[in-house]
Amino acid sequence: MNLKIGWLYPDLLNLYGDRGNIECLMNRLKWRDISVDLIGISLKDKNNFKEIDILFSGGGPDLSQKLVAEDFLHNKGDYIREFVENDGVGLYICGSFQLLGKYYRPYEGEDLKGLSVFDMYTEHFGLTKPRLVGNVVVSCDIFKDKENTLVGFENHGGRTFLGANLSPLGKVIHGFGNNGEDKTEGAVYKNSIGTYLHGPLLPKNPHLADLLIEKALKKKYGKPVELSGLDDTLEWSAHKNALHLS
Amino acid sequence: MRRFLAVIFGKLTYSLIGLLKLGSGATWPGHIALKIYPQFVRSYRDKFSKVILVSGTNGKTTTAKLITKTFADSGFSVIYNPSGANLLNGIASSLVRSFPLFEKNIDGKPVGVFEVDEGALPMVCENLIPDGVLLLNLFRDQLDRYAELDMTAEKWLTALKKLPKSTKVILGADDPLVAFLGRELPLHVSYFGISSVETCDSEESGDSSRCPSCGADLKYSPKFYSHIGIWSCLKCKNHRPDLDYLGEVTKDSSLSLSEEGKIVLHDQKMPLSGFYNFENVTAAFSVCMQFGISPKIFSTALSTLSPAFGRQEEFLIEGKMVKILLSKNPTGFNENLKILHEVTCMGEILSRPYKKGKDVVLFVLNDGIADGRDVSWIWDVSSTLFQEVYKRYSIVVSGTRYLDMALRIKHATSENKINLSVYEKLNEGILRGLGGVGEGGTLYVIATYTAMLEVRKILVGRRIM
Repeated sequence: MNLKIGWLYPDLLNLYGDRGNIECLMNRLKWRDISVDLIGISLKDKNNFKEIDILFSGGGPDLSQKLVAEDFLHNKGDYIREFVENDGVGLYICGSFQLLGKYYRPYEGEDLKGLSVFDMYTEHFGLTKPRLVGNVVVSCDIFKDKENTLVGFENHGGRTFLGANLSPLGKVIHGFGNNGEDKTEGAVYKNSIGTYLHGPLLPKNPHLADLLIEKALKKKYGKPVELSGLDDTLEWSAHKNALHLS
Repeated sequence: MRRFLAVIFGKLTYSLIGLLKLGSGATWPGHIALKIYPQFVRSYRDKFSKVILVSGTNGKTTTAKLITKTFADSGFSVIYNPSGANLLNGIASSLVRSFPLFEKNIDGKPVGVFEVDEGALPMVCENLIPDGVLLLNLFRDQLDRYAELDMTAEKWLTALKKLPKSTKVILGADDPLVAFLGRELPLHVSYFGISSVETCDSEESGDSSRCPSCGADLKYSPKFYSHIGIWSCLKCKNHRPDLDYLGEVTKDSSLSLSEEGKIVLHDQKMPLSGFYNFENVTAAFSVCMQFGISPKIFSTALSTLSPAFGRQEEFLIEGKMVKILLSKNPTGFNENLKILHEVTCMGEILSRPYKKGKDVVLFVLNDGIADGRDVSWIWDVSSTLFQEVYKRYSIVVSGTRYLDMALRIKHATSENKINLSVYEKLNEGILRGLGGVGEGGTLYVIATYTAMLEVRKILVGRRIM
């Protein structure tokens, strides 16, 4: 078996240790003797989304965010929308998550139109509301197992509000989540997951990494594939440790 | 009158902290003085003959230390802040400590040399109206506190523009984002940078490897590390500015220092390792030359420079060498992992023979406020460098986020069943580390800021057992 991981803008959206998610997916595949290819898709690269089994897109600094937003929406927009609508498996973090919504409203200036794949919008309130920064614990019902928490760190100025047609990824137990008000965190639509839990999300949440892998294998090979177990003692110790961080 | 009260209470705080052994008192006296009299720092401006500020993500402490030492060796009385106390309250504390309660007629006013936190620079500039500002570099560090690099650069620019036209601004030309500040400053700007005969082209992706002007990819020939190097933009033709001060790295890793194209100091031996110290030394040299210090005195100060607190500091514990390498962001961490291999270039490491045995590396990762609560950055440290360390050294992991560090190393090495010694308790980790060091070997401690303080306390206080 083989999976192809597509990493959107590896040279631009790599601000908060996003590499950790890629390394985690690749290692968990290798450890199970499933071959894996990593395909970087940046500004000038071809839009070969048809061959991608798992798409990943992270967060980035302001300068690249503008470049990326432009390319993400206008050059790759149609392909990404098609990928998501065709049940492509994807993980979209922070800035990329925001761009999947209807629009991003900055504190000053015009709205930035999003891809409208996710029924949600994002608004930045400038200095009138503080950035949402800190450790996060989320409770999710997308996992079959007993372990249904996600742990991570968030750092965002924009606040995202979900529409009626979009489910959150989970409920905030500790931290702020999408907007610091309604306790929702992230979003799930078809096989796509958006979240504010940035950087190395997957290493400490191996069940989420495996969920993405299972979905991708099922889609590619047309039937459910049972993943062999791995020694995740260290992963779960780190996860449990993060449940109690202030 | 309020200043008088502020000094009294500040000094009382010092005595109290000393009496109760509450720590070094690097920030509290100043904090209290500022509470009583918010203009406290400003009111001291005219007591200095010169004020020089040093800021940037990495290298502040070592660079400020070398400048301080050179000025002191030249006969100036110098007031400075201890490392780590680099916010306004830290500077206020050093004022409380250094100036007497009753003003005396002293011959000649002192020179102030202060290292300043990147975020605090605007406020410190406003209070101290410096004669010189040295800006070293900008790397990703504590993004939970500073948000993104471009924003820090913006804030610096706004603050610098308010300074008098005579202010001397010395900029690190090898960092595109820092060098770029000079284009918009109506002040007296000069640039320092490095050239290296060992063509040591790094393939690391940097933190700002895009042109600050047009956003296109930058070309480097060569890149020294991270996004530091001789850069140019092929699109808008921006390039590293012409240098006023050059540090030329020679074959045996000495440094020749030039001013306006003429070598002033030949083949200076480096008292500290790491490529980044070539930058730090050249930066300190630039400032000293700008303020008319004799090159000869600079050379002497450099040759007798000892490591600053926790920055390549060495201890001999029970006959074993311990070397502490403060590593608080991906760039510093990478460069220090290179120091473990006693090389400055990645290529050299990979070509070296494999050895494992007498040396041990202890990684200590904390998530205190001063470290940054977010430990995501360890995933931006080079995986290749982790792999090389794993192949060549025994590894011990500790700190408040020791499990995150262990997991980072696991994924960097791609080892499903990894053999690491992990210790939640730091003293146990240090003991294990020391125990693993063989005859003539070294325990290298790679530690974040508060972790470094804790390690030092345990080692110096011998509170190991």
